[in-house]
Amino acid sequence: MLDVTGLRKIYRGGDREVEAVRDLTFSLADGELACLVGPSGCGKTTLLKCISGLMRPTSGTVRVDGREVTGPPPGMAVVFQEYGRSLFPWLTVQDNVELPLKEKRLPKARRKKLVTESLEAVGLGHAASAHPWELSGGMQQRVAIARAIAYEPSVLLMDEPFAAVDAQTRADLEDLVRGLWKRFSMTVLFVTHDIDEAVYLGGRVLVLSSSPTVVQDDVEIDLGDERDQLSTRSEPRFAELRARVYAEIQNAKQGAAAGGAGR
Amino acid sequence: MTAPSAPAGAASAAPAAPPPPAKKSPPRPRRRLPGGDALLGTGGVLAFLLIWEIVPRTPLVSADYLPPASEVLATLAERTATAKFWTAVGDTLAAWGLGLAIAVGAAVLLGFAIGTVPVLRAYTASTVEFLRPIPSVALIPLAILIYGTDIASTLMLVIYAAFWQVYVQVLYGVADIDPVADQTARAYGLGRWARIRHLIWPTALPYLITGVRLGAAVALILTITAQLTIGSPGLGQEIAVAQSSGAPDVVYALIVATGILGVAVNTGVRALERRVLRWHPSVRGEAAV
Repeated sequence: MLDVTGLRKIYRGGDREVEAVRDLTFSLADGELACLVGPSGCGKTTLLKCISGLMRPTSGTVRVDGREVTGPPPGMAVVFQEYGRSLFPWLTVQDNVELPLKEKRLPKARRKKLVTESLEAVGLGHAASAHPWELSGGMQQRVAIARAIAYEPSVLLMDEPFAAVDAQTRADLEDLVRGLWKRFSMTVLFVTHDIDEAVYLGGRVLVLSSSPTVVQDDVEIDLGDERDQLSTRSEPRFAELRARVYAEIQNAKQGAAAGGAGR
Repeated sequence: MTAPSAPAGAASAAPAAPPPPAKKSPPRPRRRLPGGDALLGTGGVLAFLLIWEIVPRTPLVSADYLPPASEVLATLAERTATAKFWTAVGDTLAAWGLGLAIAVGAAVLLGFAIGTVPVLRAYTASTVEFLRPIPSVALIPLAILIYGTDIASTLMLVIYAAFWQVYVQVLYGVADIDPVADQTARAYGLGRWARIRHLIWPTALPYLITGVRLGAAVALILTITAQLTIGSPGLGQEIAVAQSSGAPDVVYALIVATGILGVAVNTGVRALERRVLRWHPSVRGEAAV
């Protein structure tokens, strides 16, 4: 479904070159929910921009459904961390959700149905005619998620979507994402810097190294399909997986430090 | 603009909760009554009129040069009963409105065309910085040379003055696109025109309205100036005629009329602003009360 092959990105500024991503290769199967974690500054944003077609890689390819990404792919929706800036304040909640559908030239009745369904799916059926700035942060991010699922994507990218909401809201939104993922059978790539979140959410966790980035580890999360904030997080297996991902990230940091000193 | 047009609404409408009383702190801000600013403003105007009424009756200023307020207002009332006055007002508003409309239209078109293309923007920046500070009144001889005393010469001055006010604002507005909003629009497949319509236009709108407000004031100044100096028909010309026929009360009455026009124009643009920018932080604070 989503294939990233030999992705490399070098930023050129004047005569300076910065290699942000060295060589990334991974694949997501259809309907998979994978989390991507890595030390801060590891090139997650660069990777996401390349996958979403907002930026061209220096070399390597991204394929969605077998087709190479050269611009924003039609079957992909993105949820950004900065919901406040990603939603348009001059549009109401339902107009925000509907705008991408208009650009897709869907008939009006179909658009209306998708907007209503997706807003109800995130629990905001009542707030359709409000403006985003009248809602709390968590609700605003729900609107952004509704916009993404109304788009009927085959791949959903989420870029640290809950980094700016409080812990309780965050737990609710994590469960919401798992619920929506099952209900709408999308492929989800969820980027986060939170190890607990990655292990709790994902069927798989990809650990990235420090920049220049490669895939450091690929961890299968065998916690079952039914997860619960209380019981899942207190399972011994959860702790083990968490410890493994944590250790890998520490390795990644040290590897970078050692590599940096060696050069 | 005159004092009553000062932006009073923004501060008054959001009543901040009074902070807890602190020891030896300066007196805490009083909670204002709703409409308190309007009352104060009216009081200020009345006080001003009172002073204006008294001063000409003292030896400070001769009433020949400054007729008392009551006399001036009576003259103004008299004038407003004549068709000539309203023709002059109509001419002034027509030149003002037409000039402003052309300036805004041109500024929006050019602002969007040039502002959204960084190369063009950089290419024209120095020229704009040279042309913008040229005072419009410096073009009066040129305007007379080209158009004579026709309304076109007034329009030329008004458009030149108002255009830069709006154009510069539009440039700022177009450059103020939030990168996350832009990435969102691109990621959801919005093309160039869709982005201009749904993202760049709403982002630039608050700037545009500010530009229109500044431009409207400047356009009125230039309209009156052109009518005064060039002699094209309107309130400005009437003032010049009143002056040469030695009627100071009429001069003052007409000046007051232009002042009222200025306040009306500013109030109008502010009302438009509140309507169009309901979603904007500067307006929605007021709306939330």
